[in-house]
Amino acid sequence: MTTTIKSTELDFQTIKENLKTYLKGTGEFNDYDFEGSGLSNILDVLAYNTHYNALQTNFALNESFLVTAQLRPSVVSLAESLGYVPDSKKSSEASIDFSINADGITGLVNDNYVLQPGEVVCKGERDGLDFTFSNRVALKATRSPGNIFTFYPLSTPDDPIIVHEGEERKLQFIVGSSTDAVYVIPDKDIDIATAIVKVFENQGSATSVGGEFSLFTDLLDASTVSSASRLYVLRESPNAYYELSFGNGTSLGLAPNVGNVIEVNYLRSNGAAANLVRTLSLTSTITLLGADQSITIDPNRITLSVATNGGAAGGGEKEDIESIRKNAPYQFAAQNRMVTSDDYSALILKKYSTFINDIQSWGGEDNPDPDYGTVFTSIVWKDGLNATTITNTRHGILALSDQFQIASFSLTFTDPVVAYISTQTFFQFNPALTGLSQSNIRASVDQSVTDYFEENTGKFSQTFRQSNLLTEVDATDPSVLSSRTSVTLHMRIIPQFATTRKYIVTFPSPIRDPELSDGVTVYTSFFTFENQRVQIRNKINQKVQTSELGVIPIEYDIQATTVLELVNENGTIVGGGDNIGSYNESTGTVTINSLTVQDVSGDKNYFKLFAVPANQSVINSTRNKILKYDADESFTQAIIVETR
Amino acid sequence: MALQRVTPGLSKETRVTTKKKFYSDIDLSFTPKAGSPDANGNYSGDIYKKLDARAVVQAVENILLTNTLEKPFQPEFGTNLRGMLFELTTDYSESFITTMIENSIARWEPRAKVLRIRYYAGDELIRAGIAKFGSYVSNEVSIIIELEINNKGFSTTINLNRFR
Repeated sequence: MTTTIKSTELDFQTIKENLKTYLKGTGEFNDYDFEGSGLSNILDVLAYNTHYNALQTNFALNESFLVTAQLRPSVVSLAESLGYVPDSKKSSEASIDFSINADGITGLVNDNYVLQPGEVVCKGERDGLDFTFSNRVALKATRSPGNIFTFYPLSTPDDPIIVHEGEERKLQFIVGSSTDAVYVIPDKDIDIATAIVKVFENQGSATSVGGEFSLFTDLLDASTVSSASRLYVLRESPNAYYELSFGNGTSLGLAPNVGNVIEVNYLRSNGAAANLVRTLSLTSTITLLGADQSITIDPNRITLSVATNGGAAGGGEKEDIESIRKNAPYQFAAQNRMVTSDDYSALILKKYSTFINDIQSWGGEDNPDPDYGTVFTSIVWKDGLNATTITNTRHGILALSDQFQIASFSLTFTDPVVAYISTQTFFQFNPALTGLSQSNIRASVDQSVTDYFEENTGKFSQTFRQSNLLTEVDATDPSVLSSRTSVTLHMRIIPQFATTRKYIVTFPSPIRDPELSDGVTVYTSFFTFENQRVQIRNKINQKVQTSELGVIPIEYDIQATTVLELVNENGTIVGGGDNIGSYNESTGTVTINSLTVQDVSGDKNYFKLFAVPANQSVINSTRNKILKYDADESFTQAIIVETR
Repeated sequence: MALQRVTPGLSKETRVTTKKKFYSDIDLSFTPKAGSPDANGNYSGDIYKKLDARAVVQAVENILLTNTLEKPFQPEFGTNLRGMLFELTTDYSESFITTMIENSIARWEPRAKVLRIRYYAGDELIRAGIAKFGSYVSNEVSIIIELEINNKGFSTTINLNRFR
């Protein structure tokens, strides 16, 4: 008797076939092969049950691993086991200037006034929707000449006042006798970064104005944990609400006692919808304590303006599953401390993900000019962020690195540098193999090229591979038989007009040896110099002595060299620009020693510096280099053939 | 001298033959064979088998009584006769049902060949002696399918009864 039931098959038909194979061996029943038979019906039930259980097991196993889990509660839970707390919604924030002109107001006897969190509430509007912003930290103002009170953050006086978007919510929980209690905040739109957790001694102090309380801080902001630490953990629960929990009362920090009242104050955020709100108007009443009574300030005496020109920024949605899946292992590797360059990227991205599109960090020892003890970070900011927001975020990142770095490295910001790739693509096209016109096929090839670059460039640490591009081109249509392409790099130089200065540009890859081509290898687009249209290019007709010194007759050859010359449209050297710089083939560095640009053509503020790479097959982007496709400098061309 | 087992009635020259059963299936009525009852009074003997032509007839009945989309992972299996319950009992319906039955048996039960299909609806059932005189038969249709299995004739009857 054969017993060939394979327990690893998941497919219904395969399971049924296995059962039939078993029945073949028994000889008891013969009708298993006929679909109408009773036996076949029984096999259907058995196979369906097995199939169902196998799928169930398969799903359950998939949900057990971060890389395969599909359900959000599973991904969140698995990420938390790595110590990663997925981002909640993030409130948009704006920096404001806020002051009160108290000249003429009698009764304001104090020279300092403090506004508590939530006392400055203002409203902004975008696309017909109203958004509420409020302060989350205490503000202080000191009387200045003219009786002007200009407010600033109480704990960080040098920083601007930040107001966060969101509807303020408050929840209170009475601590019961149960140990390891978890307090559920039934809100999916909470911005956990805005949560303020207070613990009052009893209900009396919780309800009275000015009742004493202990302030707890987020575990993620803690660098040490002891039995005296007042820490809380706020994390997403399986039903997408949030759970608040505390230490165990001993080694993992203080826990609230029975009868205490926990108060959670947070903002319910509208996420990215509130970004770009440009104007805010005060909606709360500002009351300052006078000598005898509180004095309500006339709104006309209050000045409130958004300091950031671009408006509010930084609002974001809840972190999605794929982002959690990608970031959790990095965060785990970083272990909440900045040691390797990747740690810097992971922790910065964790805190400022709503401001950052892409980030790259590297140690100074990897720089072309090594700078030991420095970590370089290059950030691609999200669209729409203004200079003030970027500056504030950089301050925040520096503070973050002070908190988490374990060695005294200095953090230096470096702007991303874009190197553009242009391609000149020729493809063999047989019209007999398609019903489409040549122009249609060419448009499809153009699209293939664009798609390749969209998918493979535009971010840090990406690589252009010529063979992969040509594979995409060849796969465009059966009528495209083969293809070839030549690659040119260019970088954009933004000159200071009418100012003589030196320009140094480094390409992401080595540049072609000038002797390997009769044509130019390095050249610029045309710009205006001393009222002439000129360009820079490497010399292709340099007279070079080829015979050894002292040997007669002296022999010369005309060669292309790395020396740069400044020529007009006729190719004539202008302005004494016989030797205005040179390029280094191996490092890819082009140096223009001295140049005065009068103007650039068109409505651009830059001119282009082109270079033919030494290796056309691959262009790597390292450190702060980003590769992008320049469609304006690229073309595709069909070569009609009749071969197949 | 070795002992020889002798079966009573059989000699050395007797040839014992068994009739070969080509088809064998379980009986879907799941009736247990007579055996001794257990403590709860339930009989726990094996179920009966359906053999040869009777197994094929049972398979044909299964096919006729199964609607399409009913069987897991085999949506086309079945005849969809119940789907015809709300159609009018006209000649057109009869020919249509005949085609459905012939096609489904040809596809799913190659052991049987449909010889003839007869229909009795309403009072015809009483005239044909299928229903008793005085029965309420206005919503009832009987389909008698005559089959050829292993060169022998068999028939099976499918009753379709609309309850409301």
